[in-house]
Amino acid sequence: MKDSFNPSIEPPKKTVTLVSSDGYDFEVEEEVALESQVIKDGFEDKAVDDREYLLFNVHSDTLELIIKYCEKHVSSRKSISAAAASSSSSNGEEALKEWDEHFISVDTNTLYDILMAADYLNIKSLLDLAIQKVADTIHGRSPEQIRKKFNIENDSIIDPWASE
Amino acid sequence: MKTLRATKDRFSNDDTAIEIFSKLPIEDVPQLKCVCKRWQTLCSSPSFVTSHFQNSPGTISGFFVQGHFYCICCERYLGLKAKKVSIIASSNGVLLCRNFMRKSVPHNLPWSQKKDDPEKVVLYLCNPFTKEWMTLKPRGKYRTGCCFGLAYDPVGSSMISKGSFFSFQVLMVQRPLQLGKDPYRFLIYSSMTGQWRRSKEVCALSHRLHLHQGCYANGFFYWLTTAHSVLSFNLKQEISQVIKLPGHENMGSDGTCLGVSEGKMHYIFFSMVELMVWVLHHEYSVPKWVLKHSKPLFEMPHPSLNDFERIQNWPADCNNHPSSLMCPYAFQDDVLFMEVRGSLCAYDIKTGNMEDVYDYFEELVGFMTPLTVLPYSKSLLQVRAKGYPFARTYKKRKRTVGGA
Repeated sequence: MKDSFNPSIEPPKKTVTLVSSDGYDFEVEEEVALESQVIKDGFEDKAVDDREYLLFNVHSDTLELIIKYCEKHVSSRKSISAAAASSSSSNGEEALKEWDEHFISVDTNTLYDILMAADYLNIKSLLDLAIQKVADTIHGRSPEQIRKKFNIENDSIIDPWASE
Repeated sequence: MKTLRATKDRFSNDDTAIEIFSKLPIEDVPQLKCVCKRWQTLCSSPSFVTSHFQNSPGTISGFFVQGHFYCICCERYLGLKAKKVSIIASSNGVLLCRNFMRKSVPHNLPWSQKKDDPEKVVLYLCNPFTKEWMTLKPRGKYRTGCCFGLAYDPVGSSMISKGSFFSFQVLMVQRPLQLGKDPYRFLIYSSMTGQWRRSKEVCALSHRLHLHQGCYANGFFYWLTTAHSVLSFNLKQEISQVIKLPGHENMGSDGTCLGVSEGKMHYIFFSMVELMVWVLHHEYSVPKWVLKHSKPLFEMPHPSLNDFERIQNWPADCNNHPSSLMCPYAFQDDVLFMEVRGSLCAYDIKTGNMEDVYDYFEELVGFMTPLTVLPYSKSLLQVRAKGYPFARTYKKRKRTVGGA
């Protein structure tokens, strides 16, 4: 994608193409795509020029967020291990946590899309993050508030736990 | 278009929904059940209950205190029949209660002179949080002095089969007619069969068991005996064993208690000078005691014990000796419930913190039967497959009595 002059001797990074449900192509670095356990499983068996994944369940809006998340995690993991190697203290993990917190602070619909995509692609850390966020959203709300927030139809009138 | 797509299949995946609900504190669960029918079904499913149990850290959310005639929390917590039951064991948020003995004897009468006619035993299993009850009736009549234990552990066993409710076991230790001549016998109830059966195992122990100092840890039941030992019962293999206690011989039950922490049985002992916490390890089925924690009594961090003058007078002033001011009652998850100068305190052996948890404890102390303190942590463990409203049967009976 970048066509600027690059003086480093590093070979060009291997990429993988992810195709969203609405037909958009996303070219990402291999290690970013490998954050997904689903892609990782059986990755080696696939031919190099056939590394294209059709993600039928993931909309492009969501996929963009997911890629953003994976890229951030890959890069910060590198910087954390680099800091550990040079034994210099860093608050990399702390910063990543903050970033996660900010990343997941989205509206209910987006949150739900991320949750389903993380589940589909099997990205453990993102799934945990999204699940915790949904749980936080539910926590401390009344049944009526929960229904409103998640657009759930009220089909039960009896309170099963109410004492007589 | 997007909202339509998003709202249609919200929480469509049961596993994800269960995972989300499992992250919530137990107090939120009743609210979840009211949201819609599907959520109610999900929150009642065994897989949710297990998942939630494994996710919750198992913190002690309270405790039950019970004297001979009065149970503080019973009325408020356990509902209608509460005055007539005493709590005898608890396991992961489920309580085992039994009917109160009909004949109450003047409490100043010593144990030996009490009338001991065999009586029917009625046990109640109860989850105070879900308000589920069930009744268990061992056949026959039994004398006083039976010990009971409850094993209800949904994790790490093959107890849960899909669709069925959880399984638990109740152990009843039958006291011999004549101590020293006859052995102790064991009756086991399993919720899988719904039956009581007598174990082939007997135990020749010539001492009494301490009725209220028993516990269950990792497949074993334990009871404190009056002869500086514990009686253990391996639930799986049905083998009993008498294990000597460590440290100095302590004939009474004062100053000792049993408890469970990290899946292991602990023995708590107050000597004249220090508090000791021992852990029982099973190394190749050989029991071995290891001292886990000890603390000199005068270092106990309770304000009423910080009187320097009293410390100096200790050797002379026997009544004010710290060992007579402190008494352990229960131990769970590294928290020791103990009495200090008339109030009940919780002492965390890991952090060394101590706090008063019940100030009116002294009013209950002083009867012949020792007080029981049962640490309690809320759980969703099912007592019945479906809710079994205990209150309804009670009402029905009341009506017949009124009619007659």
